[in-house]
Amino acid sequence: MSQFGRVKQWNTFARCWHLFDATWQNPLQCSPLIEKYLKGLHKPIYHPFVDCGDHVVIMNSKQIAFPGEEWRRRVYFHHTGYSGGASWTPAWELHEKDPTMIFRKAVYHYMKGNLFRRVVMERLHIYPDSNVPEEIMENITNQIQPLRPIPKTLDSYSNEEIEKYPKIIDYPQDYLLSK
Amino acid sequence: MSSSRFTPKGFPSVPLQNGIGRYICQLKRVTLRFCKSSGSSRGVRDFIETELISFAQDHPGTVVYLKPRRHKSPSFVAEYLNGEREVISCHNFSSHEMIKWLNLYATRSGIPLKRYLKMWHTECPSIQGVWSPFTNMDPALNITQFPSKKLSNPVWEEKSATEELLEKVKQQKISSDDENDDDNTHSNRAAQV
Amino acid sequence: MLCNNLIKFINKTFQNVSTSRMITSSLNVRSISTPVTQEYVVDDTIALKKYSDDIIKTVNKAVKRNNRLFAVVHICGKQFKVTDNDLVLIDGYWPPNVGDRIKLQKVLLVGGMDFTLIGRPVLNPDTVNITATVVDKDLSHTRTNFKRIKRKQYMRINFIRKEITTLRINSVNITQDIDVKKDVQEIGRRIM
Repeated sequence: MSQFGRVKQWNTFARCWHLFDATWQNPLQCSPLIEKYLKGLHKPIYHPFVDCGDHVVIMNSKQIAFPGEEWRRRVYFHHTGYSGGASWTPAWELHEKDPTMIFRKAVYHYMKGNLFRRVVMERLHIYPDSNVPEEIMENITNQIQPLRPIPKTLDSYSNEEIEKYPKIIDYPQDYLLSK
Repeated sequence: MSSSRFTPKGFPSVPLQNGIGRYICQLKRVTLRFCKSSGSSRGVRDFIETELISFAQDHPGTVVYLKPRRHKSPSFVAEYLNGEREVISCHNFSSHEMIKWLNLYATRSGIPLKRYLKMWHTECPSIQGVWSPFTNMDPALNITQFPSKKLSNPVWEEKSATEELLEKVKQQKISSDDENDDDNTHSNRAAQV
Repeated sequence: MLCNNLIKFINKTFQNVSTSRMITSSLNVRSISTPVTQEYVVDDTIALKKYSDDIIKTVNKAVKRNNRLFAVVHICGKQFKVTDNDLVLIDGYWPPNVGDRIKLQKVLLVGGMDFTLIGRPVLNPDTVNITATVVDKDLSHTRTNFKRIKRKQYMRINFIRKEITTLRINSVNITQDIDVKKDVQEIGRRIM
């Protein structure tokens, strides 16, 4: 291949780095989207023989959200290999021990169990908060938009907004609110 | 079955860039070898007597040679402009089969048999430019600081009932002054509609 | 008193809703209690026509530069992306003989460096001209069709060689301006 041809190949098969903010996102819902970018399915040049996947950096994995009773009901199985070494850890406990594990497991188990899976998981970088190392932040060229809307908590309203908010009724002055 | 695995593979090609200008018949020489008396050459002999001249007239660029050889099985040799030489046995062929096979070898170019990996070939695969990850990317991404606030919003957000009502309130410009004069409280836990 | 305030508020909202200019989607479910809203539709046909005319002008200019064009062509159930001087292999029985010059009719898309014309589903054959020459008619490599049903004494093998036609695309051209339409247009199936 000529030099120019080689440069064109580098250009076409360049591996990009994408950022994803996992605040208030459900990892089980996001894993198809993340897998799409890791495999390279978002590219028109995709072919299963060609390794054209991108890197995905996930931040704030500590702030992920599960619906309903998932935190208590979803258990992760682990066996040490020794007899009596089976253990079932609920999601909330696992999240306390390692905040990146739930997202990693969600993406890993969503993928097909082929030899490519391990290679692709190496390209997934998960960080529990927004402290992403500088070397990795330098590479990022794109941000993947999240799926779920982030709800606005009552605490995030400023005093101004509260005062400007239209009311039709209000508590009487002598009404006692439980605090 | 795996016989395809051992067939030589390649991409479509045509010798001498045939077809760009005008089409040129690639078959340059046909040599018919047959026996004048044996039974296996009967079809060939019938072909020579009936169809050979029309075949030669239809293919003016091809030279036809006849080689009567005693006590030998009939065959014909097709030679092409790119130097390929193919020998085809016509043992017990009818004259109809002779016509069929000769016409096939006349329409072929001399490319040896192969399994085609792609059914097309171009010299210029790209006109609008080869795709790269940056082709259709928004150039604003070059200067955004990651994580960007705009891209932290979900792709599609449903309008909540609260937002819809707030919009309606803005449109009707309801002020809380004239309505709620007596009931003006400044509690943090506001009663939200 | 609170109830009164509430009622006043509701009355006020209902009065104002019917006269305000609201951009509501027509998919909203209308109940009997809510009043019908009026939509104000802006007539922008002239602006749209000017916009499309500008685009057509630019494309016509680009066409006249006579650069290399590519096309997506539908032949024998398959689609190929095609430019000048490239080869296409057609699998199976196809009548055109060696040396025939053919005009390809089913053109789905034509593009140059600066523009693309997308047919819905096919482009006008008077506008787009794609000529090709049949260069080669050969048989494919021997393919085996093997069938076996285990334990049922059923085994068949069939060797098959299909015809392959090599087509050389001579030219991909746009012959006239894009917006040219015939006064009398043919309706119905074209005879290929």
